[in-house]
Amino acid sequence: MAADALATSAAPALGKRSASQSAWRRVSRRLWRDKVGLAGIVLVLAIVVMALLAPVIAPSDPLETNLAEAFLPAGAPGHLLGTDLYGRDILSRVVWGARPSLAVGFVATCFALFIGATLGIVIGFYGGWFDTLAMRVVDVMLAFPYLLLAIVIVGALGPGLFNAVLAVAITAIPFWVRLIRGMVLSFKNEQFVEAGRSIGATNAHLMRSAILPNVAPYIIVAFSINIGYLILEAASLSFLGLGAQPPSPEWGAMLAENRNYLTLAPNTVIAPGVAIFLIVLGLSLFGDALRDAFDVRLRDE
Amino acid sequence: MSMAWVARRLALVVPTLFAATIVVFMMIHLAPGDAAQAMLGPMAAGDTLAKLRQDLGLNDPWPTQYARWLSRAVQGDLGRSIRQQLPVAAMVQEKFKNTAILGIVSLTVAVVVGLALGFIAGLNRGSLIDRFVIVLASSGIAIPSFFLALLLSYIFGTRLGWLPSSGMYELQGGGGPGDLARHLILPAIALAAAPIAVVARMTRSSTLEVTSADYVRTARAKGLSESSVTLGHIFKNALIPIIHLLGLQAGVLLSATALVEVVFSWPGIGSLMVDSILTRDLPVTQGCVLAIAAAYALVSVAADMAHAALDPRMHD
Repeated sequence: MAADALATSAAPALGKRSASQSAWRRVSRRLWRDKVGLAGIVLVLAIVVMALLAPVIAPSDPLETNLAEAFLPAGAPGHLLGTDLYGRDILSRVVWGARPSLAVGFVATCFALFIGATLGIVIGFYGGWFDTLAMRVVDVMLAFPYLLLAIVIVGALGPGLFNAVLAVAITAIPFWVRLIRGMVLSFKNEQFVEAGRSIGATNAHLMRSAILPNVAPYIIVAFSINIGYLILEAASLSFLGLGAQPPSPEWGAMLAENRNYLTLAPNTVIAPGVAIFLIVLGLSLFGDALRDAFDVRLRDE
Repeated sequence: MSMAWVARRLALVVPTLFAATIVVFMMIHLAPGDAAQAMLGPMAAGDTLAKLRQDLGLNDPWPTQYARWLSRAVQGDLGRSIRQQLPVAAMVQEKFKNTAILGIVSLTVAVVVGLALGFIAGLNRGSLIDRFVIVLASSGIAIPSFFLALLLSYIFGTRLGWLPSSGMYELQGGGGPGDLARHLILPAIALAAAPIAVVARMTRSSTLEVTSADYVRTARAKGLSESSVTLGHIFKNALIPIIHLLGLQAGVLLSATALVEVVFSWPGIGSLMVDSILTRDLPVTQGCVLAIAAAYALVSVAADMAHAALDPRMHD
C-alpha cells in the first residue's frame, strides 16, 4: 500500500490512473464473488431506488387521510399493506418514509465524517497540546453510550428531526476522530511521507496526495458500516418521540404513531419495522463485504 | 494484575464522572432560550419566570451555578422534579432498581446464549449450525430493539396470551418473584437480542482464532482429552476478548433499555428519562443521565478488571 501511494503522489497522471484502477478492479472482483455481500448491496440499492422514485412507486399520497377507510388490513383492494388510523395508505407511507429515514443516516454520517476527518487529520498530523485536548474530549464523549449521548443532546436542544440528525451526527464524531487520527499517526512516519517531505512537499499537499489515498479504503468501509448504525439510532430517537414528528412517514415515527394500535392493526407496525430492519441488515452485510474486499480491519467495532 | 494498575484504572473513573457532571450540567444551558422558559413554556407569566430563575439560581455566573449544583449532587441532592415536585434522587433511585433488574437479566441471557451460540458455531465452522448462527447474528444486529419488543408483545402477549406484556407485576394479586419473572421474559429477550448477536459473532471469530493457536496444538500433542482442550484451552481463551466487549455492551444495554421499557411499560429509568424530556422536566432528565453514565463508568471498570484478571498477558 505504501508503494502504491508513493506512485500516486509522485507519478504522472497516467501512472496514477492505472494504479488505482487495478486496485478498484481487485476490490470489485472480490465483492462480486461474495454472495451474501451482494445480497446486501441489492437490498440497499432497492431501498435507495424506492426512496428516489417514491412519487412514481407510491400508489397514493402518504399524507392523504380518509377516515372511512381507517385500519384496513393488508391486502385490501387498493391498499396492499392496508391503512392506518387516519385511513392513510401504509405502502405509500413506507415508500415515502424511505426518504427521511435514509436521509437522516446519510446526512448525519457525512457530517460526522467531515468533522471527524478534519479533526482527526489535523490533530494526527500536528499533534501537540491540541491533540491531547481533542483526545480528552473524545474520551469524555465515549464515556457515554451512543444512544444516551444522542438523548442528552436532543433532551437539551428539544425534540425534532433537525436536532435528532445533529445529535446522532455528534455521537458519531468521536468514532471518526479516533479512527482517522490513528491511521494518520501510523502513516505519518512512513517512508513515502518522508520522501514527499524531503522533496519539499507542503503539509497540505502531503495530506491530500499521500495520506488521503491511503485512508480512503478505511473511510469507505467505516462509512458503510456507520451509516446503518446512525439510521437505527435516528429511528430510535423518532420512536421515542424525540426525532421526526407525525405526520412524517419516517419509519421510527410511524412505529411510534401506530404502536398503540398494535392489537387492532399489526400491519401498521410491522411494515415500517421491517423496512428499518431491511435497510440496516442490507448496510451491515454490504459493510462486512466491503471490509473483506478491501481487506481492512477497524479497531472501533 | 498489579495493584498499581488497579489503582490507575480506578482513578480514571473520577475524571470520567467529573466530565459527565459537566455534560449533564450543560444540558440546562444548551436549552434554547433559557432553562426557566423551556420548563414553563412560552405562555409563562413574567413574574413566574423571574421567580423560577431566582430559584434555579440562573442569575449567578456559570461556575458558581456548577459548583453549587455539584456540591449538592455529591450529597445526593439532585433537585426537585418540576412536574411532580418530588426529590429527583429518590425518583431516580427507585426506577434505577427496576432497570437494573431488567438489565442484569438481559445481560446474563445475552452472555449465556451468545457465548454458547458463538462457541458452537466456531467449533463447527461451515456447518449448518454455523450458518444459522451467522444469519441470526446479522439479523440480531439489524432488528431495532423496539420493533422486536412490539413483535414479542403482540405474538406472545396479545395473540397467544402466554406472557404479560406490560408492567412489572400484576395489578391484582401479583407481587412474588414468580410474577416478576413472567413479566421479565419478553422485555429481557427484546433487550438481549442485539448483545446476543454481538457476543455470538465475537465468540465465533475468537474461537476460530484460538482453535488454530499454538498452545491448543501443544495441548493436543500432550495427549489431553478433547473435552479438556475444548473447555480448558479454547473456551477459556476465547472468553478473554468477550469480557472487554461486555463492558461496552452493558453501556449499549443501559441506553437501549429506554426503547424497550417504553414498549413494555417497564417502570425503569429509561422511560423516566424519555418522559422527562418530553415534558421538559430537566432536573429529572439530568438525574437519569447522571445515573446511567455513572453506572456505565463503573461497569466498564469492572469489565476491565475482569479482563485483566483473566488475560495472562496482563499479569506483571
